[in-house]
Amino acid sequence: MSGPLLGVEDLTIAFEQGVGGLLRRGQGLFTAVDHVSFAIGRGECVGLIGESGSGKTTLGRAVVQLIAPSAGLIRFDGTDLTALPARALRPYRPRLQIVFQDPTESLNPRFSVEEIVTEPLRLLKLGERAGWRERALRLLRQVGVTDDALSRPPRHFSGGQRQRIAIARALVTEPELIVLDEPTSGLDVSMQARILNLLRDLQGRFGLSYLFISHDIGAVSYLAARVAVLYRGVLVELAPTRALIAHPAHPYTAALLGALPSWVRGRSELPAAEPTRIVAAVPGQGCPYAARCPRVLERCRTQRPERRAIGAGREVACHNPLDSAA
Amino acid sequence: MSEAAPRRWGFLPLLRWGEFGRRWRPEPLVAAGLAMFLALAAFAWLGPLFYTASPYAIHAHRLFLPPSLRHPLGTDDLGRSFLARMMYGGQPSLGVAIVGSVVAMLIGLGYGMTSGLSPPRLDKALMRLLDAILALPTLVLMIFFAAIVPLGPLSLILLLGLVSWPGLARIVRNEVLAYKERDYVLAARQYGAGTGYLARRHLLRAMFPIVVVNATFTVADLILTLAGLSFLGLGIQPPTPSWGGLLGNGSNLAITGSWWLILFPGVAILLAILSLNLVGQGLLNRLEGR
Amino acid sequence: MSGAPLVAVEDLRVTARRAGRTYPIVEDVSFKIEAGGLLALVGESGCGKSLTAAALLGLLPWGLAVDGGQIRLEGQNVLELTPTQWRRLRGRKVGAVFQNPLAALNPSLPIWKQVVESAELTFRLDRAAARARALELLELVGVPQAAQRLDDYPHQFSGGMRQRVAIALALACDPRLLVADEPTTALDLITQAEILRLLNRLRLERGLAVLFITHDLSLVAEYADQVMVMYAGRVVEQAEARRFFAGPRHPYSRALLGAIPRLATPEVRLTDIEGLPPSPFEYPPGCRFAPRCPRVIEPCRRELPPPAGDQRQRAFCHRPFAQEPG
Repeated sequence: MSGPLLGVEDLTIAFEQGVGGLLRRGQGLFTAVDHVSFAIGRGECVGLIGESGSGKTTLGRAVVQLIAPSAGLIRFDGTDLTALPARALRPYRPRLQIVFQDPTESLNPRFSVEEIVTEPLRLLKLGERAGWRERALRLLRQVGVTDDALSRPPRHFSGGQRQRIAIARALVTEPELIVLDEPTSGLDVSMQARILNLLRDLQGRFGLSYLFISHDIGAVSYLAARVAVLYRGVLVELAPTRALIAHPAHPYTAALLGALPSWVRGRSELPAAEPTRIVAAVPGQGCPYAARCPRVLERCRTQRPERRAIGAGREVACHNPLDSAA
Repeated sequence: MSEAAPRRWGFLPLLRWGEFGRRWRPEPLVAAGLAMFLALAAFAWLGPLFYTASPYAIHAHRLFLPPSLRHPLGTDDLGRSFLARMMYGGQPSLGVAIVGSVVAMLIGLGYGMTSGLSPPRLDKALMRLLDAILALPTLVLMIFFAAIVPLGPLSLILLLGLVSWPGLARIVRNEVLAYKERDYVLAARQYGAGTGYLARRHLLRAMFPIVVVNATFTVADLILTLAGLSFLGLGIQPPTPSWGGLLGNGSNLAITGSWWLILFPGVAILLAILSLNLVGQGLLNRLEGR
Repeated sequence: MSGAPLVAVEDLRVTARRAGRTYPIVEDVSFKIEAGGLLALVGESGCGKSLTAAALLGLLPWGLAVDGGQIRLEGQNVLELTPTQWRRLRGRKVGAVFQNPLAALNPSLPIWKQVVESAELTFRLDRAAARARALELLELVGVPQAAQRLDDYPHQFSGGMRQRVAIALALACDPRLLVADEPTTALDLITQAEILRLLNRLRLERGLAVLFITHDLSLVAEYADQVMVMYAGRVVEQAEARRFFAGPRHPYSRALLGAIPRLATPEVRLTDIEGLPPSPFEYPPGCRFAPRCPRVIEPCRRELPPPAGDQRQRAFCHRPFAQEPG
């Protein structure tokens, strides 16, 4: 039972691109997630940062077995889930949960809150039916939703409360790992703060592990001990949060931090660098960030940088990283 | 995948505070249409309880009488009470259309859900088949069937049901495809929900509104089709009255100047179709405004 | 910058009529923006910030109307003009940018035509002059290789470039005031920083007055020279940006700022505000923030709070925080 709770190894997810027509099948493959590896320890929160289209949502859905990967392993508690048939996967489902970005989308508008929160129990046949309601009530209380919610439809609640209901649903199976897919990005700042606080409290109380997916570095730094940065499906940097913030190694990470409002970033000034020249990578070969990178070298164009360790718990995939030792 | 955060023009929800006191306000179109349609149905089914003249009794001494106090809607070419014939004529006209539409909805819903939940290849094949069925000219098909099947209410119900489901099937299939990717369906799949469960608990409920709207329009459609068939002599067979048959008969006798034989069945058909379209449109407004 | 301010709004009041009664949705909003100034109007959804902008743009939705106060544009009260006069004035003096640039752009017209459409109408340009003007505008907003992109269509641009095009369109008639309603909310972090820098450059170089509307206080710390926070249709605090970020005096402003995670201090708990903003149809008497305020005292529930502080920082509060030296 030792080892990390979740181990993602060389995960690759490719989609057939939407080229229709019977004659042109399978022409364009789009690689949404490209040889990504990372691990999450028990009780740990790992942040996954990326812009829209970076493949972070696809990655999160693959972790909870909603998308089948093209290659690679997803080990949960030592077992490779991608190799399991649906029946053998069942015992793992309750231990692995997901909270989606938009609670308006993720809660069936035609269900009552009770039906929503107890649905996983019904589907996974967990516990006595008679105890479901009590269990739902207990969790709703824990996430801060009042008791009279049970019989009401989700539209009677504000966005923040709906997200709490979604979190209660994720908690109802007593999971060990929850994938949080941008759980705060549709919310107002004050509501966002409340959800972040709630997630932090729940993690402490239940010893949960999180994969916290977000484009918001501030929110990630609030919850995550380690951060993975995804750019066009490639994991370009993985580091403890504090180290990454203080001394980003990958030029893309540096650009992200540099784009943060100074109020969030703090005093440390990171100059917003523009690329000196535009160097487009050879498709499938070079570094995906080469075209935008201010530190681009000639070999970035033709040679995909391998990920390598650069100090305690840090990895970067770059030919010319920034000095992170300082 | 999801909509942009509803921040800009955050006041827009304000403008939809119809459920101010959380009271249900009936959509005016729906209420009006429903009232009209129920009145017509009451006329057809409850009317005979109050006006007991037989629609079949022939009276050679009172042919072609115009409306009067004794004969509120006049009499026809065989001296039968036209009010009685209008009442009894409403029963097959409305009843066959309603039941036929239910049949069509069940087939369309089943076909559409099956197609939408099938693996892509089978789905594609089922949709091509649907295209082929849609390409068949309905009325010609009906005339063909009517020629070879003995005509009665039951066969007409099946006939009408069998030709009017493809439209709904396509709509349902497209909706299923859209709903299949909704996050709450994904969430259920993540807890191990199978296709049957998703269809039963998530998708069927979601289809309910469009099926109801579609059913209203289909009933209106079938009333018209049935009237058309009867007009051509292929619908409900005389002496059983039906509004379409009465209208057809009346127009054959137009030369006698018996305007009531055309006016009343015509207005009845018109009102039935109008009322159902009002209901359908009202429901549609509700759905889209939600 | 002496003389009358470019824009002066005084005691603006927007009301909704419903079931024969009139409900104030926005009340007592007053502010001034000098040429070259940037006023940040901040608040959560439903606080009336977008409606204030809509009133300024003459774009109030049906059922809402300006019911009092003044909107002075270069000294002239536009509410006294006829609708046609106001529309003409607005066309020439006020530009607007919204969250979704696609909504502002016509997908079936090449961008150069759209960018200069309003200018063509206003200045009666011929084709060559119009193309030249479009090129000038696109270069101004930093569209790279603008000359080659004049004939492209909106879908050929990325999200950030579309927003630049939308800004070019807003600038076509050389407006004096630019109203930007959440112009960066839909954009990625790096693009957002670029657009903010662009807006800042435009106002400094061209003396454009900017009304910047956002829910995210951290965005405006660098660029705004004035901050105005709204809650439930009323202004709660109005201050010079430097003063404001040194220490907001209204409890709501303070909570709003404290709800934003900061990289340097992940251990500091984010500020929670319990409850939800009231709906405009059931505003409480007295201070509208009182039901949620952690510092509430007796008068808050009865009387509208008086302004506290001076011209440079003013909070509408019965019990404001002390002013920080700033």
